[in-house]
Formats: sequence, C-alpha cells, structure tokens
Amino acid sequence: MSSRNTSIVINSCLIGTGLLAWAYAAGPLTSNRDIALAPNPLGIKRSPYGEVFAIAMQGGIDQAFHEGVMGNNIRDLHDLDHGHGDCHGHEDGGQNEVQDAPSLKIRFQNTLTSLSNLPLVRTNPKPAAKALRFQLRRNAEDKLRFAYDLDPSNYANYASLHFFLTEPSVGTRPELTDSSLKLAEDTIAYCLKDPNDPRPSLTAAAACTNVLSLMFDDRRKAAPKYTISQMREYLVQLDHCIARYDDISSRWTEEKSWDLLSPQRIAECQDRSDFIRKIRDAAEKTILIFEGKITNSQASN
Amino acid sequence: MRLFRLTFATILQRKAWVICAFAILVLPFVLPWISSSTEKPILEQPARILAAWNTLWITTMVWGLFTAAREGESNAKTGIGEYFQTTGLSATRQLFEIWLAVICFITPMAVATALICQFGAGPADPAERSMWWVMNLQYVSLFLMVVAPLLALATALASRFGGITGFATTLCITLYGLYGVGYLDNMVKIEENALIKSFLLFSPQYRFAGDLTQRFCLKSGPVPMDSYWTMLLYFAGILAVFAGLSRLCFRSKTTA
Repeated sequence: MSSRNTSIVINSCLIGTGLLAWAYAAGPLTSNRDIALAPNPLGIKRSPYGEVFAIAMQGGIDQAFHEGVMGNNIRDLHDLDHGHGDCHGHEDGGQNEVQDAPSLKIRFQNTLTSLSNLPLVRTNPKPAAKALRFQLRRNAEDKLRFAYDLDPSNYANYASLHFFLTEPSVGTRPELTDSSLKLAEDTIAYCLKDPNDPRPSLTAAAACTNVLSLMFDDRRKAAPKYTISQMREYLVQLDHCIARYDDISSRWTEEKSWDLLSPQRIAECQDRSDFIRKIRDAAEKTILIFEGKITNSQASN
Repeated sequence: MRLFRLTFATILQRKAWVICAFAILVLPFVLPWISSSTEKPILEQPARILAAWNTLWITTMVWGLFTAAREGESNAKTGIGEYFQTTGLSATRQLFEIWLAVICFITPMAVATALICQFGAGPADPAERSMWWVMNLQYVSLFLMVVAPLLALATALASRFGGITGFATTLCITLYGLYGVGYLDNMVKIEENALIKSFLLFSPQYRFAGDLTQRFCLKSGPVPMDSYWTMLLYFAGILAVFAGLSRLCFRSKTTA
C-alpha cells in the first residue's frame, strides 16, 4: 500500500506544481503581444507557397465571386444535365450536336461533374431567402479573403476582393467604405515592402486607382466626403508605385530575372502595367476637371 | 532497460521511420520547387525553412504520436507489460522506457531539421548566422519540450483506452495548441469573455513554439531570453501535468 501512496503523492505533486507553473507562465506569455503572432497554420499565408496557392485558387475565386455577387449558387437543371465539362456541341446547333456526340470518356467526365454539382442544385421553386443569400455572400467573402491573405500582393486576388467589397449589395451603392479603404491601404503597405519583385508594385498601383475611382464617385454626391487634396495624395502615391515598378522591372531586365517567368505571366504583367498607366492619366484629368483647371471637352481631346 | 531495447528494436524493424527520415531530409530541398522561389530565387531559403519545420511537425504529429500510441497499446494487450511487471519493472518505469524509445527517434529528426535550417537555409551575413544558431537551439529545445509529454500521454492513453484514442486525443490537443488557440485568442480580443479567457489560460498554447518557423522566415531574430525562459517554464508546467496524468492513466496489462 505504501508504494501506492507514494505514487499518489508523486502524481499530486507533478500535477499540482505543473498547474502552478502553467498558470504562472501563461499570463505573461498571452499578454505579450510581441511573441504571439496572428494565427497562420503552417505559416502558409504570405509565404512563398502561399503565393503559388493564391494563383492556384483563382478558379475557385471566380466561382466564389459570382456566387457571392449573384446572391446564390443555384444552378438550374439544364446545367446539371450537361455538366460544366466539354460540351461545345451547343453553339453549333442541334444537327452538329448529333454529329459531335461526345466520346464515352467525355460523357463520363460530364456525369461526374454534374454529380459533383448536385449539392448546388436548387429544386425548391421558391427563391432563396434573404438570410440564405446573406450567408452565401459571407461564405464568398471568406473565400476571397482567404485567397487574398495567402498573398496580398497578388493582383487578381486583391482586385476580386476589392470589387466584391464595393459591389452594391443590399441597398448600398458602390462607395469607398472603411473596409475597402483599409484593404487598399494594407495592400499598398504590404506591396511596397517587397524590394525584389516588380509585380507587387502594380498591385499597389491598382489599389491606388481603386481608391481614386471611388473618391471620384464620392465627389459627384451632394456632400462629398473626400477633398481634392486627398485625391492628389493618392495620385502621388500612384506615381510612386509606377516609378517603383519601372525601377525594379529594369533591374529585373538587367539581371535577366524575367526569364524565370512564363511568357503568359510576362504578357499579363505588361497588360496590367499598360492598363494602370491609362487609368492614371484619366485620373489626373478627372482631378484637373474637379479643380476647374480644364473642362470636360478639353479632357476628351 | 530491456523494455526500452525491445521497443526501440521493434520500431526500428517496422521501418516506417525510414519514410519520415526521408521526408525530413529530402522535402526541404524538393518542396521549394513548387513555391514562388522558382521565380524569385531569393525566396528559396524561406521556402526551405517552412518545408523543413512543417515536415518535422507533421511527421511528429502523425508518425510520432501514432507510434507512441501503438507501442503503449501493444505493451498492454500482448502481455509484454504483464511480463515485465513480474520481473519487477514498475508501470511508471515501463512508460518511461517506451517513451524513451520513441523520443530517441524524434530527437534526431528535430536535430536534422535544425541542421538543414542552419546550413541549408542560413543567412550569408555572419552576424545573422550566429543569430541562426540561437534560434535553432531555441526551436529544438521548445519543440522537444512540447512533443515529449504528448508522446508519453499518447502511450498512456493508448494503454488504457486503445491506440486510436491515444493517437486521436493527442493529435487533437497538438493541433488545437498549435493553431486553434490562436483563433480563440482572436475571438477574446474582439469580445471579452471571462469563461473563454480562463479556458485559454489553461489551454496548451503550443503556438509559442510553432511560431518560431515564422520568426525564421521573417528573420525577426531569436525570442527575447526572458520570454524564452518563461516559455520553457510554461512548457515544463505542461510537461509535469501531462506526466502526472500519464502515470495515472498508464497500465501495463488489460484487466479484461
């Protein structure tokens, strides 16, 4: 019996002192905000892997965006019958459809796709309730936010989330809400930290143009919230981003870093850069019109 | 130490550790190929660090805890425990020897990961390189402090409630401690709740150790020494509690 008693004493001591040490040390550790980082399972967000997964998620983002914006993820039965696979017979009319009857493999693939879409099909004739549409919107936003968090400097993911946040939802018009402004500012701050890649600078520039365009919309209201000097600030910021892009991209040309990218990605980058520059010029003219320095007709010349 | 030698030899013979060792040595050099470091070579080292430490965590959570649970279960079920009991080896001693055999596999894996991190992904700057040594030592010590009691708990729970319970329970505790508590903490930050807060206080917050991976990637330097000692004390507290619980829970033979 004595060994049993010793065992109980040892266990009590272990658990007792352990709990004391646990509780004593937990306080300072939990309250010390320097050592506790934001939750980031496997450190995947904002990591080199996150950047790749952010690109890989773009198909899903597309779907999430539409589900959220349309307010439903409801497919009709026609979709279910044909699936989303290879069914290009449609556009050629009925006759061709018979001739181009899909092979057994494709038909099997279509069946699998339609079966996987089955949970999304709504057979209830009554439209989705407001609460359900709200829920779908929330889900879509979560997905878009996750893709954005994986790599905030990803141009397409930032743009999707931004347009989603500013999309007219229940009774609201597109406006520069606090959330979209914060998103833009966080994106600009994050992107301008990267000294080694020109592409984040383009994302930062896109964020500036988004803020500017929403400020312009706001200006047309009876009581505008944003001043012209605030617009000017963002225009300066935008110029800084474009200059930074040019700077890093010329360095990449010297170092032949562009060669590591696929031609499609380079072309995509070039398109975005051209687009941003056009928007920048248009934005400057708009500000000049607001300032009364030029008129609408001069601007269009 | 006959039970230790027997358990060690059994694990060695099953050879599943070869897969783990292979993953730990090879994945840090292969996984960066699917990261954006192929476009930006400067990101290769952070990608390697992430791959190395995450492989170690996943290997330990999956293989380490499972092996510990399985050894605990078979010790009780096959009668080995009962046999050693008759030779005078107490239950606690048996638990210790099984635990020692498992940790003898986990420790070299942790050391190998730290060495890959030190030599395969170390910074070029000599000042930062010495910082890397401190961080690696901190990380290995914290990792072992986190994992050691969990392995003992897996063995003990499995000996009483079966291998699946031992493995699943400790795996859930580890996942919760590494990732779940962070989200719970965020909830408390948004809305004060005394109940959740005290629950959080007595949750095993393994994220303090797990976050070191990100400290490496962000090159934010070693954990301040006073915080490090507090962390060690914290994990030692959890170790003592889990050791007590494991001793209570472990049995060397099934009663049925």
